[in-house]
Amino acid sequence: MPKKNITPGVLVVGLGNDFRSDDGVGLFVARQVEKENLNNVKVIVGVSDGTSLLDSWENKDHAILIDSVNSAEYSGFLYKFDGLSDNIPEDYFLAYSSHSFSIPRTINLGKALGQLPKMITIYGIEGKSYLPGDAINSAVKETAVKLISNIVEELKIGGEIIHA
Amino acid sequence: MKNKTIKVDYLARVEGEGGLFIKIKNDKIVESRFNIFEPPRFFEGFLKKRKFTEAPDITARICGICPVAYQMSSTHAMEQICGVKVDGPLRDLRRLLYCGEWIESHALHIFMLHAPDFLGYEDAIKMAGDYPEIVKKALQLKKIGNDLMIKLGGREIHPINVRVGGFYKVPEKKELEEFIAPLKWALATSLEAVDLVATFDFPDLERDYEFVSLRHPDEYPLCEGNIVSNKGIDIPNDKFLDFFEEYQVSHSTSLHSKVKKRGEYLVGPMARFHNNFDKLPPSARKAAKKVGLGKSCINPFKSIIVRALELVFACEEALKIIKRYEPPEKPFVECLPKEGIGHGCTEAPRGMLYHRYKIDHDGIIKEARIIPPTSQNQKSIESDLQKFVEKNLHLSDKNITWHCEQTIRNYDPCISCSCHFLKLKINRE
Repeated sequence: MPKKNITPGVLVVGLGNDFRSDDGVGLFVARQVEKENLNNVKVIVGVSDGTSLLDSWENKDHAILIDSVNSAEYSGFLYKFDGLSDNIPEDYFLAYSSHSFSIPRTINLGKALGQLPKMITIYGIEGKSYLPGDAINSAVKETAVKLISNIVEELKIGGEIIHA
Repeated sequence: MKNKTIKVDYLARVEGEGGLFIKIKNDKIVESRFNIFEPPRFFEGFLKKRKFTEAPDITARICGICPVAYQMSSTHAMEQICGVKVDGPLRDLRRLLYCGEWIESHALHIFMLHAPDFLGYEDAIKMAGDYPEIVKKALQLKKIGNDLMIKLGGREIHPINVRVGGFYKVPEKKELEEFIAPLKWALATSLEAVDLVATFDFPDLERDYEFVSLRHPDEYPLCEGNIVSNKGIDIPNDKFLDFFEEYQVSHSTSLHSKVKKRGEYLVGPMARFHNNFDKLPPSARKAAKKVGLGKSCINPFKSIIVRALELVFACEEALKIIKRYEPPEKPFVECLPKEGIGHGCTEAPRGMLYHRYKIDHDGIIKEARIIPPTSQNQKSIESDLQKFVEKNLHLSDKNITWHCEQTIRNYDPCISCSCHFLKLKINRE
């Protein structure tokens, strides 16, 4: 098989769609983390298909995924999942097509193939609106800003990210 | 089994939302329906009043898995109006981009959507547990196709580098030469895939299809050629609507299609294979012979073998193009609009995709007509279902339902593409 470039460290992935209002929050968080230019941290802003993550996160120490969720919680509520041990609710993190893989399915595929990082943390921020538009709701953004600060702080000192 | 209803509300492992319904009365099939209930998407409506140059970008959004097909059909239609022929390296780059799409789409369907049926798994994730190396190879094949699309199209979903007349930017030769090693690996893997899928157990189902596809005098068709069938059709693409027509059915939000005065037909890999076997590269023809396929395939379950052979073709074609490529002087041919009607017919991974546009002298779109392959295949799917169930009434409910779903998945349907149209009439009293 063609050779892959694999480096250890942390991978931060923002998921979502900038043109669907609060679905852009994952991308917003990733962009802000990227601006910090942290050592040993690779940032991906947006993926078209979950399976592309399998190569990106292989052998990484930690993959941090951020996306919006659509559950029954209040806007701005922050979910945190351990991607390797928690049961990730599939209906919170949907794929947009049967030809692409959602986060939960990608993780399950990674488990089956033995292609996983040592740790996966998934943050889901409850959105208010997913209508066409590029504005993020203020409550959603407030949570996002706190999360960015926590992620950056912990990555700087090399610790585990705590709940915002 | 005297009276029975087989119903699947939501089909798995197909693109978009569809279901199936079969009614059996006194051991006879009285109804077989491929239900499409995905909402119409109105593309033909909102293309009106847009500039002709926007058609590739707008129509690409019809599909995330075959956007290049929409871009190619729309650009060719607009260039026909403008009286422009794109040739040489730009024509080659279009074929190369299309090869990328065929590789990623066929690899995904063969291994992740279709193979689980034959190997007895609910989905590819469960299959990956027992066949990790096959799934890893499938994902790598898909990545190579995606990477080609990113190189030539700017990104793999809804490429942004395609324009009427060619491209906005073209690669240097050395950028394409980086793909030679991965494509050689992909070619070898595709040949292995042919051998692998040919070992599957195939239900016994053969029908007398009217296979419709493009045919080109010099090559396996992607973007150009006459529209031909194995029952005598051989026409230029501007005669499409003289021979084919769409009609509405109550159980589908997608229009059905038929050959006028005749009936259903089939587009896609089996049609291309039958109509263009002689144009496949020697490696693909040899591989077909090795697995006993011959020059035609009329068992829809064996379409998985044909798709694997088309993977071989796409890899060979990509390597051939890269070898002879020299960058053109300009990335596009200038296309000045004039009033007129243009037709574009190209081969999406799932089959022939027809576009027709009417534009005015300022290049504003006045009319748009798009007929995707999955729309065209609906009636054939229903007939396959009918024939399969008739022959297999003795199977258990679970088994027959599984095979019926598989029958639909044989076509790799893209339901979201097919629901692009709705005529709306308002009566105000």
